[in-house]
Amino acid sequence: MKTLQSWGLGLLVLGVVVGASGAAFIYSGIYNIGADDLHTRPVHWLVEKLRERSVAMRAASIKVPLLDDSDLLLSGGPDYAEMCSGCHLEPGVNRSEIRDGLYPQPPNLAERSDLSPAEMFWVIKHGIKMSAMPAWGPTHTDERMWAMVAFLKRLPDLTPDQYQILTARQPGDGGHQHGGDAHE
Amino acid sequence: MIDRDTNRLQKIVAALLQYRGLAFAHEWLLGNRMKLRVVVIFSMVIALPAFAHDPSMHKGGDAKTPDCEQTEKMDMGKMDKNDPVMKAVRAKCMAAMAGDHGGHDVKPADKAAVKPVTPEMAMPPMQQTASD
Repeated sequence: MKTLQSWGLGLLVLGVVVGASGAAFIYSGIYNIGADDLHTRPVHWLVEKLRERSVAMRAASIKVPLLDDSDLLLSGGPDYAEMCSGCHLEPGVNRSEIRDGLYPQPPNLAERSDLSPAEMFWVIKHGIKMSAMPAWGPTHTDERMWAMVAFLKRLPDLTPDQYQILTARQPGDGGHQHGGDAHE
Repeated sequence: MIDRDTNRLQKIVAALLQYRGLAFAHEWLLGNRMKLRVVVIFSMVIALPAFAHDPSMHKGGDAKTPDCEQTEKMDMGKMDKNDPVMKAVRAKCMAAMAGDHGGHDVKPADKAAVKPVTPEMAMPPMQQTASD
């Protein structure tokens, strides 16, 4: 009994100490939150792994529709160009101004992506916390986001010319406004 | 009126020149025109990087018209005509060439064939073509 009590007390004291240390760390402001101050390697690994596992777990139950319809490319292409290419680049473009200042740096989707279509869809719909990746779900239908996934699958194989053709909007097309309304 | 404005200006300049630093700078600059030129040119050179920003870094999706002339460079014989990319490129360029802006063949994504599939039909590799 005494042993249990002493263990319990010890744990309680430890908890208080850890909590107080954490609070002191947070309130001191000593941690540099700047995007130009990189994580240490262990912290970087931790955060990356957390993100990968979180996305994988939540995307596992998503049913992927058929994505080989060319109409999906015609819809997803212009949306990608307007909503995504500034951060995620395009064929023939290696950098952008905003990308250079983002941390974590957005993946170059014009190259191979490690994400499955279901994971791509989940990330597009829900975004990523504490990053520059927004959640497009509140403003876009699932169908529109699947069209973007269909385009993303093809993007690494597109030439710059094919990209330009597929992403151009013509007068009269349903356009897209940044920060615009949800499209149903 | 011009004389009054000139007098006012002279008074302002005189008031400013009461500050030693400004008086020195004033005297230094006007006393040697070559130095003045150097300062002006140097200031312009310093300001040049402000214009070094490449506007093309901002562009994205601003092409209004598909550049379908590029399709002439593509070797169509080597391309799979059933490839969704080629079909999409053809559809876009046909609409652009026909000038059919209002009735563009771009169907809204919610009208596309989006339907759930069983795990057996789950995402095939690129080489496979989907079957309904």
